[in-house]
Amino acid sequence: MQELVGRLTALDPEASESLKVISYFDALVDGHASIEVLLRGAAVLSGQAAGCDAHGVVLRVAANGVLQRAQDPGAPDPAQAPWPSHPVAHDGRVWIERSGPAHANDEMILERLALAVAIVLDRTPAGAARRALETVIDAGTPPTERLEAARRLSLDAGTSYRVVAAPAAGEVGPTAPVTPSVVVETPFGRVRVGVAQDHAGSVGPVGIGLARRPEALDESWASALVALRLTDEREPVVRADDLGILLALADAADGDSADDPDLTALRTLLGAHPAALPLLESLAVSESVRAVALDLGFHHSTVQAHLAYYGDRLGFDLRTPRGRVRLSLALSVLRLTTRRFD
Amino acid sequence: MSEKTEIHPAPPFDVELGAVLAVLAEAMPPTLTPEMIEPMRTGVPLPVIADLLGGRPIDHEERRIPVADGEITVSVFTKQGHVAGGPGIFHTHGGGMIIGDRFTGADEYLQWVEEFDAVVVSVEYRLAPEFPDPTPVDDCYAGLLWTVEHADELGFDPARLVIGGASAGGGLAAGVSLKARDEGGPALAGSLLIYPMLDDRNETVSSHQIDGFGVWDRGSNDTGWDALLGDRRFTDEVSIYAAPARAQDLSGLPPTFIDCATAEVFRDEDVAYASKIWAVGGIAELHVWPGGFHGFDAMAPQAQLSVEARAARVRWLHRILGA
Repeated sequence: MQELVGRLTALDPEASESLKVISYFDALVDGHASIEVLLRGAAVLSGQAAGCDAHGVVLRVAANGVLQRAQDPGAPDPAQAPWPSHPVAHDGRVWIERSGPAHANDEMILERLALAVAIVLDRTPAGAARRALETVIDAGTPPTERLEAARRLSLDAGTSYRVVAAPAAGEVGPTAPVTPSVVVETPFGRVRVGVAQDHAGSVGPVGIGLARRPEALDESWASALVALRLTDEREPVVRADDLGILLALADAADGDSADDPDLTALRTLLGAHPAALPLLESLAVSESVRAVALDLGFHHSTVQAHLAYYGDRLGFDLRTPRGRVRLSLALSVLRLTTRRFD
Repeated sequence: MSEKTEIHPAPPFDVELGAVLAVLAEAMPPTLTPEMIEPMRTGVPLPVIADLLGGRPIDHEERRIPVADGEITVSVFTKQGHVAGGPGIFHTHGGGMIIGDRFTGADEYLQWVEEFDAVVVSVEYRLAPEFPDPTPVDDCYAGLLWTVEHADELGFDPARLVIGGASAGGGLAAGVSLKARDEGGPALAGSLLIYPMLDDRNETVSSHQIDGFGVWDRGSNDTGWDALLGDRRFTDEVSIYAAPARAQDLSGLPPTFIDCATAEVFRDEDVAYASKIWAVGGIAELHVWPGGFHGFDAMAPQAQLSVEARAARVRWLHRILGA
């Protein structure tokens, strides 16, 4: 009887009622409520429609508690609208469709909603698989736990797999992925990670790690991330298998290469002559000066003249084999230190 | 109930409703005791009809009507642009026989005014313990008679009149339906009993399961029935109009809608009431909502279970009223 205890309605716009918000969402999480129910809670408490877009789950509940499959016609795109929102599970978000000044409890409602949604997503089979994948590639996790996580992903202990890495907004496929993909934070930005048994035909950018048994997929992941960092427009798909000693170089580059003279000289040159980059990159992968000229549509004598000038600036002769090796390595290290995935 | 019967815990609350209760129950202990009747009446703001009507195209008129020992008030709600000759709904409010007023439950019956263009008459019967049985049910019956007598003036078809109410109001609606049957009163088109309070004996399994938690628990039920019946409670002096669960014969009743929830005191007496109607070949529709507490749809109208429960009532009214 509502006359006995009242009714759940939108909270006071002025007075903070954190305790009410916390206990409401805690009770929903304890009871394994669905995302729809969580959103309805946020909508009722805030008095505004509430929405969620995370891990492929896109839902919206109107202020009256009714689930809506689509936005109201003419309503702003949730991703663009200036509504208060809160991130969920790396790549998702929840929001309250409040226009105008925020109410006292909006922030708390969003925070608890986001927390609850993340827990619900984690509980789904896909969520559990994502968590297992994070564990499998984490070198900081003891091997026994990584093997256990690999078992949860149904990875065969006697089979080799490759970790595939792409920018967070990209795709790790097309592959024969044996796991869902997960977005992880790296020092180079947010990267989408998957595990595949075989990999062919990706449009990239994508880095394909070394083939490893489940217990060593952390190594495959490390190599996949290096490969991804070395991708560019010229070579959008990089296989760690093809990198050889460059993988070791990447380790060194991640250590302390900031004051290497070749790298410093290359940075200075590119700072003064940004147009040098395509020519140098072409040289690093071409058979000859003539091939570079053909590649860039220059006369080969023009290329010769540029190379002479750039070589002077860099301090080594780009027309010698050793000079081209130094250039190629410097370009790789430069890419490794500058590539970001945000 | 025999003492040997083992009482198991009540079915769990629905997740969403349980969370609502966790938040709202802070303001109210589960057991309403006699000392709390007066504070409940004065301390808890009753719904203000102006707020409930706000923006709705509904006219509200108050009428004083005669009862055996004086006068009481009824509220008449009519949709603006009303077309005469449609259905009528006579409403008896809830509140355990001891609290509430004729606007309790208005948020739902005002929807019926709009949905069916029904004329709703809600009666302000006098409350126990100041006015013990039979005053509440007699006031309601007098209100029903007045309503039918004024059908033309109020603008509805007396052949399409449904009586309805929630909780104590459901019990009163059941009692009035029995009284109309027994005294040759108005023929009702239907009887809408929303988790009705029917049995003063408090001896069902569910009345034992909901004890010290939830909404309107076993102790609250004692408080309500004690106020209504005083020393006559538990004795053969209690009439079937006060406690319709005591009626042996439920034949000759209008089509009856009954709903209740699995985690409330009234569950078993409400289910039994439907069974008794079926036993004599009567028409009854029964909904038992899993994981609800008493009055769940009023406390959490947006919850999924509440939406479905209220929709089921509306669907029944559509069928009964042919509207």
